Amino acid sequence: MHTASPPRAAAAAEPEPESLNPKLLFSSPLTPPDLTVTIGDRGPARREIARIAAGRIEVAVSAGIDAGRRHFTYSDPIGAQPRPYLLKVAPMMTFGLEAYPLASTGLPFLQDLGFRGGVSRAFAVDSSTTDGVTIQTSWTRFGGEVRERVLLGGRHPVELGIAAGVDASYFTMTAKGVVPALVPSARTLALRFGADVRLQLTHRFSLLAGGAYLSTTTRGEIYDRFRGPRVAGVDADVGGALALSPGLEARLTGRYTRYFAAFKPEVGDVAVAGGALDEQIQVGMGLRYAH
Amino acid sequence: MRTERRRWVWLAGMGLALLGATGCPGTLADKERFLVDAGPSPDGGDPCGDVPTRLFVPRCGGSGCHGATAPQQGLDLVSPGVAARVVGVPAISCAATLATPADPASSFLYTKLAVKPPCGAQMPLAQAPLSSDDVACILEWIAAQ
Repeated sequence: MHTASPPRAAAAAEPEPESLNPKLLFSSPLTPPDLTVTIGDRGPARREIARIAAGRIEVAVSAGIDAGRRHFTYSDPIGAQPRPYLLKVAPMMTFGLEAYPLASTGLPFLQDLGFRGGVSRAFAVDSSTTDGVTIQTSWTRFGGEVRERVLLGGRHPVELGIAAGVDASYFTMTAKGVVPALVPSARTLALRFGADVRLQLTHRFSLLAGGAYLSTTTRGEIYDRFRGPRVAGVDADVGGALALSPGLEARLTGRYTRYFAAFKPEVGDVAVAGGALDEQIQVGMGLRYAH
Repeated sequence: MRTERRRWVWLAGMGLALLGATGCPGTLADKERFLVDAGPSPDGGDPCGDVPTRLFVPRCGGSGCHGATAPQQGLDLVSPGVAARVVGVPAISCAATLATPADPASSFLYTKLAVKPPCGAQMPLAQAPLSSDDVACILEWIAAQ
């Protein structure tokens, strides 16, 4: 796959720069274990070899099946309106894309600047109240962000990332009748500022972790039922990746998202509570292919 | 390289710890204030308390009901000034007056609480009926307007 025009004799006459020696660089599952190719002394092929040897992916796609859970609770609720809500578990489908368009250019900073996005959607999540009122429910999570990565070599290579973008959780609930409580329907959109790390423990296995702060720009319907709502959130990701073949890995991941709200109710308000906590958990497994 | 690596990992760990330490919802600083005003007088002088606040708001002002926003049948039982919106005002869906202080038992606001109201379904819809004490409070409130 990786070819170059000069014969081996020519390559031997001009020693290969140290930066292209795979043994001295980031060793990732992307790197074939027997990277024995002949390379030219310059040009795109040379840069491509360097990119692969450094574990600097250009594009990655992923897909998986998750289980989602949502628990919405109030702090200091008054009256019958603010009631907790629990979605025990819902199956979800997840797709993701990550790309670094300039990964092969060798340009500092820009070669590690990319974007990534993902979408998850739950299905079969309709529910009903104890009074028999059906609540049509849908849950979609999506996001996109710009990411800058830092690759650190060594015995256990590390990839660090910082990212900024948007994150959304659209949890909509529509009742086909009167529900004697507030329905925690929320289409929450937030700016996401996060950091993540990938630590390669062995040649095949890596640990994944990350976290972010969510600055909401659109709170969601449930919060607007209260006076003076302030909503923000955090999320945390953990997981593991097992390399199956060059570029292909299986992943087990989990994400915990926590939106927290504070209200300023006044006597006489329809809905009274001190605040609310919206906890969303997503755990799943899938495949990721990186080039 | 090793020092730089440690520094990055340390920063990442600190960032994650900081995120974990945040994220608590708000609380009510004076919860008693809402409980007292929403319920009967604590001294026992008035067992009904403020009827609009204690009964109309929590029992009639729910999602899709008679709240301040897009109320059913145009009847807002939540916003301040309920009396002005019901006394002598005809009901939209049925031939009745919402509240008649001179004859409170004929008020639609009262008759709708019965198991078999003269028009439509019993209120509150899809909820437990009001207790007889609460119904008596509403009757008393109508008479007092």
